[in-house]
Amino acid sequence: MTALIGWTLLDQTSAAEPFTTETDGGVARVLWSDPPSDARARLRLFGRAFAVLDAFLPASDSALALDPQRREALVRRMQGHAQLSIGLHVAQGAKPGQPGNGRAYLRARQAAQRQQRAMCAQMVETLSTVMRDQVTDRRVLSFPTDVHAHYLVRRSEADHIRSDLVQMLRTHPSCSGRGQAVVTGPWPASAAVWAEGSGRV
Amino acid sequence: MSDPVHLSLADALSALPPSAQRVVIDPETVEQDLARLLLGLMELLRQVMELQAIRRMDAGTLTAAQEDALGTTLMRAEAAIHDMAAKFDLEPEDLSLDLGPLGRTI
Repeated sequence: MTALIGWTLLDQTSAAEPFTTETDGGVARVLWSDPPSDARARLRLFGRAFAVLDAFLPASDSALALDPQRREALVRRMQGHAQLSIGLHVAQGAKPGQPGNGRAYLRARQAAQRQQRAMCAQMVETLSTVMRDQVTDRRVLSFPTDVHAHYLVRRSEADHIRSDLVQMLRTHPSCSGRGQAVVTGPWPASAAVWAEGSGRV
Repeated sequence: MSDPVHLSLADALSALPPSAQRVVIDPETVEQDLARLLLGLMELLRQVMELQAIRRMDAGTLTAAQEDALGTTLMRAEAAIHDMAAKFDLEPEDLSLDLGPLGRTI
């Protein structure tokens, strides 16, 4: 869905923008041609491309508030990189049989949720291991039953890494039959702005 | 479009193609569609309450009696919602509402 919104907004931007978009299997891809050299202008551009994301993650606004040196450092770190985003939802397994009382019911739900959390934690650990050598920055938000991970990878390798990720997620025990995983990107490295200090690999 | 950096969510949603904004109502299934919407919201609220109950269990702030009372309430609420859904030929999984860009509720 993120891809769809991004594409929709990007599609309305001027043809003179330094990027174009294309769709591949329903996933939008952003192709850069000539990003502006000025850091502030570039961050504004990222903000424009990801305006909807910014409604949830105020990335570009906070980045614009940085002092010029930090802003330049952010842009330097993003240069030549693309973002891959991963969404994973681990579905709850078969519901436990109807227990005899309320306490047993709640305990059974608690156990099911713990199992989901464990599977998400396992997926985050797997992703960390797989991406360690390929990632500049990462941001992983792990909720009880969902994983949202954003990785900043070298743009030249983004397609290759994405293919590997898709393959891995398809066969990972946390996904096969129990979960739904979506990999989007390569995106401009915008959302990585807010990942600063969130844990380098 | 105004300054896109400060584009609001409402602006962004209005930028979606018309087909994504349109609510499709079929006169033949309007009762079932409304039941799906209302029961889906009820089930969502029930699940939120269940999550909160589990958090309190994890934190150890519930007595055994409170756990039993909460669990019984949630269990009966789930059964009642599913019973009502069945009257409209809806399965429990039909109560998952598609919120478009925001994903599904359940």
